[in-house]
Amino acid sequence: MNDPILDAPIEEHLRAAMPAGEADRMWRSFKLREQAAPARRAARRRRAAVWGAGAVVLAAAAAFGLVVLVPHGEAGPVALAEGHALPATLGSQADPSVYDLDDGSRIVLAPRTDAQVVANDEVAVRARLDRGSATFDVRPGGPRRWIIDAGDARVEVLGTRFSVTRRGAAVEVRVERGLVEVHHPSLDRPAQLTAGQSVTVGEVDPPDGSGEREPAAIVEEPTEAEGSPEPVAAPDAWRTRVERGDFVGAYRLLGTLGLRERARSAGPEDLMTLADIARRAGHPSEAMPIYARVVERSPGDVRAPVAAFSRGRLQLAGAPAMAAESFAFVRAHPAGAALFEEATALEAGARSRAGQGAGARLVAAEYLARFPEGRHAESMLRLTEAR
Amino acid sequence: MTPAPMTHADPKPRGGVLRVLSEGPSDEELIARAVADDAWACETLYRRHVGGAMRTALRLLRNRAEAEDVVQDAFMLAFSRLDQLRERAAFVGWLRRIVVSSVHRRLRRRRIEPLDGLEAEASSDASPMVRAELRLLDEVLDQIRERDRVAWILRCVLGYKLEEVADACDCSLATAKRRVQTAQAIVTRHVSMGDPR
Repeated sequence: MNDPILDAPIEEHLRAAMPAGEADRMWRSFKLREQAAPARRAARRRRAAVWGAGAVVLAAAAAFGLVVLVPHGEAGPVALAEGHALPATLGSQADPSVYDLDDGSRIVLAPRTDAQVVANDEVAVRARLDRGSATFDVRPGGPRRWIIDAGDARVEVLGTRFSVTRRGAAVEVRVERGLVEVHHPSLDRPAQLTAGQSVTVGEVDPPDGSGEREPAAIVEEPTEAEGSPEPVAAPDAWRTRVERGDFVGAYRLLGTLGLRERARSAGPEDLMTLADIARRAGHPSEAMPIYARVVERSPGDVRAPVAAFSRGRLQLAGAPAMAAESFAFVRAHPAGAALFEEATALEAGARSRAGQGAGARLVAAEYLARFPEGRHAESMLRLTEAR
Repeated sequence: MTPAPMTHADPKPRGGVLRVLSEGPSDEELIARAVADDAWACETLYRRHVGGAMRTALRLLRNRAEAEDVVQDAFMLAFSRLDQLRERAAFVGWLRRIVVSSVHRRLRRRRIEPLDGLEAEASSDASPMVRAELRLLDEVLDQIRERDRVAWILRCVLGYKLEEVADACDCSLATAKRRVQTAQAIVTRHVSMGDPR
């Protein structure tokens, strides 16, 4: 029998376990988890204390022939208000689905929405929105952290009302009350949204229907009342936009000329911010000279390898040989260690694309020696074997 | 703490001899620094090994969300016990053992998490035949006893050596071999996969 899988190891037919950029997201998520660990431990201690106290009370009750009822909802997973467990699969109905929870929170799913509850315990509820739109009305001050995953976006919240809508890779988060934090690979730092704000992350179809897609992180402000005067942007209003993760808005405020003007006198930190604005707003060609300025003006600065790395990635498409030099700079820089693995793999790939076969093989071999189980090990192995 | 300077390999080959000029810190060095609260060393250790850990957890659990949880918990546990690791150079194997044992715990209390399956993880260029085979494999794997299934996936999906399977499963080499063979017999009955490599 001609078995398609017999011809190659099964792993080769599967998607990569860690797509590019995933390590960054996971590291940030790990740090958040680490920060939440004391709260988690405290919750466990509280639960242990409840059990311990419960044991003492039960013993006393047994001694006095009394029946003691443990108060409902003190610990454990969140459940439906009527006492049943919260189902793992939510929605998928022709009508909206409403879930009233025993902690006072409520989840409302629009028709034909698919969501999964992937974790539910005394400290956190984590749900994954696969399709459609869901509104979460989380009781403020409740004991659990709520995390909603939708594609590459992650929304974290501790008491608010917000909705998450998924359209393919694009995810829109809209906040009605309170404060939420949105994480996405396209955002340098999490976007914090307050009441009335929304953010769309992921690949967004442009409104003109041209078919061109661009990675976006667009924050919409609350709508101004009709007739209100056009707000005049403060000189540094673009910084506020950047802090919110709204790079498109920041670019609109600065414009090409404003970007260049500020880059002339800016220090490395502001240069990095300006370059990121250009890149994230979809103007990579304007970002490249700004990254170059960081590397050339402040080669010893800790931001220099980050700038070179970003520049290298932008150069990859049209100038692989220059990209290879940018990545080589990152690898040689004392502050480039955190980017070392990625830069090595990218340099090998760039040299290969630039027709520098021998150089590509050497760098790929270096990668394998250094990261034998690294996530690029397979592709690096192929490069070392290429002739 | 500032990491030691690194030099990059000269892209020009010299006399056909492969010379690796760049030697970053070893796991052993990173662990020593991480134990001394060096945040950079922790991050480097994490970034270096998270891919392997994720691959192992994902293939064993066949569910991305669960696998990520397991990996994060595994690193949390590993970092909290780094000072107890005697053979620091053996960090990879130790981390893999933590991941596999977390997977076992997770499988035992698997209630609400839906199974994505190997088919859901098929690469974009996988043919319909491959997808069908992966779907069949998913069904068969669900019929195999947990310990045998874990050993088989480690060996036949992830391609670990039998010694590594034994180490990850914390059992003898003979037991690891028996578990793989038991699972393989069931797989072979339903899917024409050939013998374990």
